[in-house]
Parts: sequence; structure tokens; C-alpha cells
Amino acid sequence: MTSLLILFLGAIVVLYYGINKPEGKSLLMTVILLLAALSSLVYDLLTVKNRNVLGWLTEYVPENMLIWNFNSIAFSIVLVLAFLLVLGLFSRNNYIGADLLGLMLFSVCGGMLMTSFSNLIMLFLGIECLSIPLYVLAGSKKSDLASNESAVKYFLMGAFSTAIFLMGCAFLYGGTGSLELESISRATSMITHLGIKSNLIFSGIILLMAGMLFKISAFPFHFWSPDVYDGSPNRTTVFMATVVKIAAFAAFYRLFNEGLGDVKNWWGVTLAVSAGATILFGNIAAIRQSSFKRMLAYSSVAHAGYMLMAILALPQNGFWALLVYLIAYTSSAVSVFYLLDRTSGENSNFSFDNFNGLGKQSKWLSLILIVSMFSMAGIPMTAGFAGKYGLFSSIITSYPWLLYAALIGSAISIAYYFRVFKHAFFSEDGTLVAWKIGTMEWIFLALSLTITLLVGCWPAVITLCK
Amino acid sequence: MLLTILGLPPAFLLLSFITILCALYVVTNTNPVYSVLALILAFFSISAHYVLLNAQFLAVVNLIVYAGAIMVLFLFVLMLLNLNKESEPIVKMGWHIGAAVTAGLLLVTLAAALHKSSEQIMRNPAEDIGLVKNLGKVLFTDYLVPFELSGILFLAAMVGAVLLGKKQTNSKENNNYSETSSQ
Repeated sequence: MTSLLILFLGAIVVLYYGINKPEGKSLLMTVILLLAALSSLVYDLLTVKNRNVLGWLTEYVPENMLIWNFNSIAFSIVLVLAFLLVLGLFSRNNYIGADLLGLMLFSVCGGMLMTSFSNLIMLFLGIECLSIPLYVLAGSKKSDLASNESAVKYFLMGAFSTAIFLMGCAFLYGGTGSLELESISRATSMITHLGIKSNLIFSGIILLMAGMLFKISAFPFHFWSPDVYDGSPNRTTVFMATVVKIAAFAAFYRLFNEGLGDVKNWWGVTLAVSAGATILFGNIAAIRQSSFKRMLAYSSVAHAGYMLMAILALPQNGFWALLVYLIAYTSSAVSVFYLLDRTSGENSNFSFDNFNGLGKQSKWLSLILIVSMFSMAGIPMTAGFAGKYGLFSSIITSYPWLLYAALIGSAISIAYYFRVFKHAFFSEDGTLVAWKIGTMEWIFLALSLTITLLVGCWPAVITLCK
Repeated sequence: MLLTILGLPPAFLLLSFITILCALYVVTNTNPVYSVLALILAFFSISAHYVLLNAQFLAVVNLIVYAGAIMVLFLFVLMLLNLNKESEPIVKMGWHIGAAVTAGLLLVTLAAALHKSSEQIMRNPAEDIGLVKNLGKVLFTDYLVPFELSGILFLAAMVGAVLLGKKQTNSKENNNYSETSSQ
């Protein structure tokens, strides 16, 4: 709760301070705010009483419809860290004034509500609070038609999915008599033990699932994401690909695996089919792209498919696998988007050719490109491998066919992840203009590289905090 | 006779009939202004549903916010956009059929799943929760934190509206714009 208050009040201060000088010290203030929130969260994590990731079996004390147990604090820490990485890498080249920073902070507040909700009302508020600033951020490059299009598309799709989500909440409330996650969990498990088939709850779960799949852009509801990712300014795209995805997956995991885990036989197969289709579709569509940014958008659809496996897994496996994968995906995606942002320069053309000659220009940037791409493809010694290993092993007994789909998808993904190497290292006609990299950018690039390699070589480092 | 067979109150049936009729008129009419006017009527009859459910506060708020503010906004936007037949985007027939089939399937599935589930609904013990007094009491005690947090939501929406509406004065951003637009 302290971290949430810090971020919310801080956002107001940042906005107020930036009325006349939008680019003044607002970035520094935001970074300090995030560090304060992060330290408060780490303190909470160290002092949390219940260190069991299976929150339901032991003590469960929600406070003001929010719960700060081990799971939610861990997800919140990853969320704030991801935002810090995004800010550190994208503040130099892109315009991020106090107005955009304020909106991003509000969005992160919504994300923290989503990671720590214990009541469906809180979850709904969190989703809205996360999305509404995002619609504006997607359209924040006002003279660019693609940006306007992506904002309108995202807004209409987001509003539609929220309506479906709310209808699911209403059905679930009708069937269980409560909006509190724990009561829903108890009511649903009691109904299954008694052998009653409640169509009301079942329809509610399916509608809730459709709403959440919209938010994470999984297969039947993925169609908006490539256009929105492609059209938004880079700073917004990376924010959507990392921070928003972390919040949405944390909420999805907590709602379905923790809240509705006892009735998994009702929704498990549906979600598994969606996950398999997402993986295959995302990877196959990504091969055909000539724009690097659009390729990353489709690959993020595919990554959402992998992460859906964690929701199908048993809680003790699923939680750690999801956490490791989120960290792995975030740390590599942030660096790749940074390279995309800087290689494309000032124009809005994001083809693979922009990377021509990167290898000659800087060996450190080449190393970062190679490690990030290896991590996204899931090559051993990088965090992506640790994440995929955890996810795949967590569902191997329950959904073996999903594992085959995921393995085929991973094999396909190597084709397009390694395609950029051809341009970066073996292309003669390098038109790349060297850019100046500030100290702050080096620090954050090194940080994301360290996370990727450390988690890859020693995945147990994540579980140390237990 | 039909009314007694269905076992539903006649007021509910009448209101539902009006609502569905209005909603159909909204969808099928080609003139957007008539559509909006029919939508206002639909909102009125939905508010009447709320009154039947003993949720007076919701009924009033629905009238003020939807039928009042949002529909007026709709009408203004329609008049500003000056929609007519020529400016209407051409949508292929296949999309219409696909959308109708999909929505119809959802309707049939939900209706089939829910048509006998009224006995499964958990009754709320407080039947008069929709009265203004009780709702206010709950809102400022049990639901205080979500109520306060919705303030973040509105603040964010306001800042976003200002951001989208204001004139661009930042030089760095303008440089980016001119270069992107010159391509």
C-alpha cells in the first residue's frame, strides 16, 4: 500500500511540477519515486509473514480489497523494475515530459492494483487505470496518422473487452454471491465437490477469460496488437510490451490459477487450446514480417502464448515459471526495443535494413543484440531458456500436446530472431549512423544484460528471496 | 394468457419489449440522429428496469449520465461530423454476415446456458441495497478505497484529455513531427 501511495501522490507532484517546464527535473523525480517505491516493496517482501506461494492454503488477509502477500509483492517489484528500465533507456532519444511521465505513473498505479487485487472491483479499477493512460500514450505522437489510428483502435478494442470482462464479473457474482476472490474460490470449489454444474459461473468464467485474453493479446483476440504496437511511438510500444504485459499476466495468473484453480477442469482445455494457437500463430505470422517492429509485435503475441502455460500449471510451479519468464522477456525486450529505437533514427521506418552495419559500429551493442535475441529465442545460458524450461516442465504432465506446439513454435521463432544477425553482421551496405550513448543508457543496458545472463546461468537466484 | 405462462411481471415484459424494439431501431436505422434518439428511449426504459429492481440510485444516474450527458455528446459529434450516405465507409457483405453469425452464436450459447439458471443465483440478503441511503453507506465504508482509487482513474482521464487536446509547443517533438511528415 505504501508503494502505491508513493507512486500515486508522486505522479500528482510530477504533473504539478511540470506545468510550466515539462522537461525540467521531472524525469529525475520520477526515477527517485520509482526507487522509493521499489525499496518500500522490497521491505514489504522481506517482512511479509506468509512466504508460501500457495496463498490460499495458509493465511489470507486482504486489506482494503488489496492483498500484499508474497506473490503480489514479487509481481509488483518486477513491474516497477520494468518501468525503471523503460525510463532509463528511452528518456534520451524520445520526448518524455512531465505530462507523459504522469500518465505512465498513473498507468503503473493501475498495474499495481492489478498485481495485488483481492476483489474483482479492484481488478476492474486496475485494468481501467492501466488502460486509459495507455490509450492517450498510444496516440501521443499527434501528427502521426499511424499513432492516431493505433490510439483509436486500442481504445475501441479495450472498451469492448472491458465490457465483456464486466459481464463475466456480473455472472460470477450472480453464481457465487461475492466479488471477493477468496469467496469465489471457496464457492466454486464447493460447487464442484458437490457435483453441481453451475452454468452461471461457467459462463462468467468464459467471459472473464475472453476479457483477459483480449488484454494479453492471445489468439482469438490478438488482432489489435500488431497494429497498435506498430503505430504507437516507440516509448509507448515498449511500455505496452513490458509493463502492461507484466500487470496483465499477474492479474490473469492470480484470478485464474489462484482464484479459480479448483475448477480448472472447466476452463483448462479452452485456455490450453488458446495458448497453443497463440504460440503457433504468433510465430508463423512473425516470420512473414519485413518490419522489425511488427515482427516484435507478433513475437510478443507468441510470448503471451508461452506465458499462458503458467496459468495452466500447478500453483507452485506456475508462479516461479511465470516470474522468471516475465523477468527474462522484459530484460531482453527492453534492450531490443532500445536498439530498434536508436537504429531507426528519426524516421518511422522500422525495417530490418536499419540494422545493417551494427556489428562494425560497436561490439558492445552487438553483444547486447546477440544476448537479447538468444534470450527471446530461448537459447541456453540466457534467461529466456530458464523461463521456457520452467514453463514447459510445469505443463508436461497435464497438457503434453501443448508442449509439442510450444516446441514447434520455439523452433520457428529462431528463424526470425536470427534474421536480424544477417543484417547486423554480414551486410556490407551499412548506412547506420553512429549515435551517442549516455552514461545512464549504458548503466541500464548493462543492467538488462546482467539480468539476462545471471538468470540464464543461475535461475535459482530468483528463488533466493524466498 | 401468455403473460401468466411466462411467469414474469407484465411491467417487466412491456419494458423489455420497448427496450429491444428501440435497440433494433438504433441498429437498423440509417439516419444516425434518429438512432441516437432511439438510444435515448432505450436508456429510459433500462432506467425503468432499474426502478423495478429497486435500484433507484442507478436509475437516476443512468438517466443523468447516459441519457443526459453522453447522448448529448453523441448528438454534437454527429452534427460536427456531418455524416451522410456518401461518407459512409463501404463494408463488405461478408463482414456483416460474419459479425451477425458470431454475435448470434454468442446469444444462443448464453441463452441456452442461462435460461434455467435463475435458481442458481445467490440472493443478496440486502434487497434494498439500491436505495440512495444504503448505497451511500456502503460506498463510504466497505468500498471506500475503490471509491477513492477511482479518483486516480478520473485524474488520469482528465490529464489524458488535456494532453490530446493541447497544442504542441515542445520543440523536440515538433522536429520529430516535421521529419516524419516530410517523408
